[in-house]
Amino acid sequence: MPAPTNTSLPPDAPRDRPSARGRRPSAFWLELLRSIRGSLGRFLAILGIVALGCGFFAGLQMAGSDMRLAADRYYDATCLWDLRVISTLGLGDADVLRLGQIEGVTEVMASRSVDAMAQMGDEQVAVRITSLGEEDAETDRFASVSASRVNRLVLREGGWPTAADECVISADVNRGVSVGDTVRVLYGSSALDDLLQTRSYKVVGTVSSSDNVYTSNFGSTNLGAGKIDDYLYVPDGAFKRDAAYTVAYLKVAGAQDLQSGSDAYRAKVGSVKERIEQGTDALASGRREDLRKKAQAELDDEVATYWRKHDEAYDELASSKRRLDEAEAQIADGQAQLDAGQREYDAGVAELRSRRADAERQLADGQAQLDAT
Amino acid sequence: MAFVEFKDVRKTYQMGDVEVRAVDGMDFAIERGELVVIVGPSGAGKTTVLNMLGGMDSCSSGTIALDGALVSAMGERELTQYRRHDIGFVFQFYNLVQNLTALENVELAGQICRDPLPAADVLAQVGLEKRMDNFPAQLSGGEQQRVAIARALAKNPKLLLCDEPTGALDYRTGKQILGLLQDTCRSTGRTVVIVTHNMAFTQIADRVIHVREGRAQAVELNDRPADAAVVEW
Repeated sequence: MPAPTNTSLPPDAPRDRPSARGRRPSAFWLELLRSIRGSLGRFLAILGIVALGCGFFAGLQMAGSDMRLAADRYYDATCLWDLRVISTLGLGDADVLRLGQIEGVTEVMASRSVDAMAQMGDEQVAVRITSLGEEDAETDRFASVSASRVNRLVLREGGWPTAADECVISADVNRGVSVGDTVRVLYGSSALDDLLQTRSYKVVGTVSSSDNVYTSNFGSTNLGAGKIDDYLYVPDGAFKRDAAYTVAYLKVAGAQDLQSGSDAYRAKVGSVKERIEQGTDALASGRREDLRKKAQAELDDEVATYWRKHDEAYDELASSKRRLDEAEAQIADGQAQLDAGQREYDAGVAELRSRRADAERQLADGQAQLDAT
Repeated sequence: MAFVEFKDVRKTYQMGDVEVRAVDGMDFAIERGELVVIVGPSGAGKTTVLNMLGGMDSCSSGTIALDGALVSAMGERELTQYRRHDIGFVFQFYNLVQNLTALENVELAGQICRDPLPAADVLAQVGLEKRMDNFPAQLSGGEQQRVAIARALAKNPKLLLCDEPTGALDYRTGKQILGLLQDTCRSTGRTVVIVTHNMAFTQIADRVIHVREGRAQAVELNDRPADAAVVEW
């Protein structure tokens, strides 16, 4: 091994400066590059594992919020309701107006629905029959261009029902019923004939409803097994004219911009809900009043009709009596005439007899005269 | 004021209930340009002293001063700068970067300090001008230690600290390394501190500090230090 040299550096020797770019990369980068190149397989394997782990973590973090975002977008696009109001006495148009006046409520839409057992394909299932708004029939795919329509449906196949015996069913449940088939309503928990015009519906299309997203359970009911298996949407005309609304759907101002299910959304909707709850007494008595007034009006009508008929009847009775009296008088007159005539006839007959007797006497006299000659 | 001053330095570790005193009241001073050897048995605290002096460890109490600067009072950032610019360290097991050639290893040192010496020249100074482009795996133990010394020297430090530099080397190579350190000290006037358990090294030193049980038992000054070549052990 060579002996170490014993020279020292002259004082004006050039000093090394940290290497300039372009000449040679710094030792740090050299070390890094050579390290990687020297064990490339291992480096790539570790890189792969770390990337996989990061990907999984990112996916896990995002999965939940992506699902929530997707749901929120679906709900916003279909204008899903924020609050739902039901009543044991049903709802009327006046209630819709009253609800619309509550502060924070932007849209109110009332609809009628009824639960029934229906024959769909081979099975008997519990279905919920809900009315569509008239606007739905006007558009192609997305229920309604009308801004006030809540709970818009997405048309998947076919078209919107127009006649009272047409319907659309759920596109997300496979029950062996397709467009063109018929659904027969069998019975329900309330008197169906008071509500529905017909018991048999022809399927003209299929829809997806953001109000019914859980395809395994569309709601609970007191029919059948206790849960709703499918849903039908029928035109307004399928329900009888005077059937009350069963539910009112409300939209809260500003709630659309918040993510559904988030705390901010719940707070906003919750405050309007409280306001409604505080006013339930007023709303309830309002509805009762409406019904009472309606019933009262009907009663008054009927009573008026009764009296009218009553008066008419008595009038007719009186005039008939008059006619009867007149007729009787006529009969009496006639009878008198008849009597007078009879007397005249009798007198005439008597005269005839006396004249005949006279004439016979004359004849006899004459004869006697003739004989005497 | 001496070049290096240790005043009542203590370092204690708390291991549960037991207090371990690695350094227990160390007091010494070193002058500029001296070749200092710190000897003592294992566990005496020699390496701890070197680490504290080199800014790699902090003391529990006491003061450490280098050329007027108070090392014991420095914060993290200051210590990093101190280690980079003022200290050259030579380890027992070389600690070279395996992926860089000898030249690049020495250049590395030059890239982190403010006033480095040219790498190739320093390597030539330690006698490795023919082995500059070899990787450490291609060099022998002695050559690797020389690269380490070159790396420390290239930084142009105030103080060169060597922790058992010949520990991993055989007798002949060890002597050569020792000779190199002595030459560097004499020719460049740099202060060199060597920590060892080998008492024979004390012959070449200008100052010998005997360390036992965490304190400096004796400090000897040597008027006539021997040449490394003639020392036998």
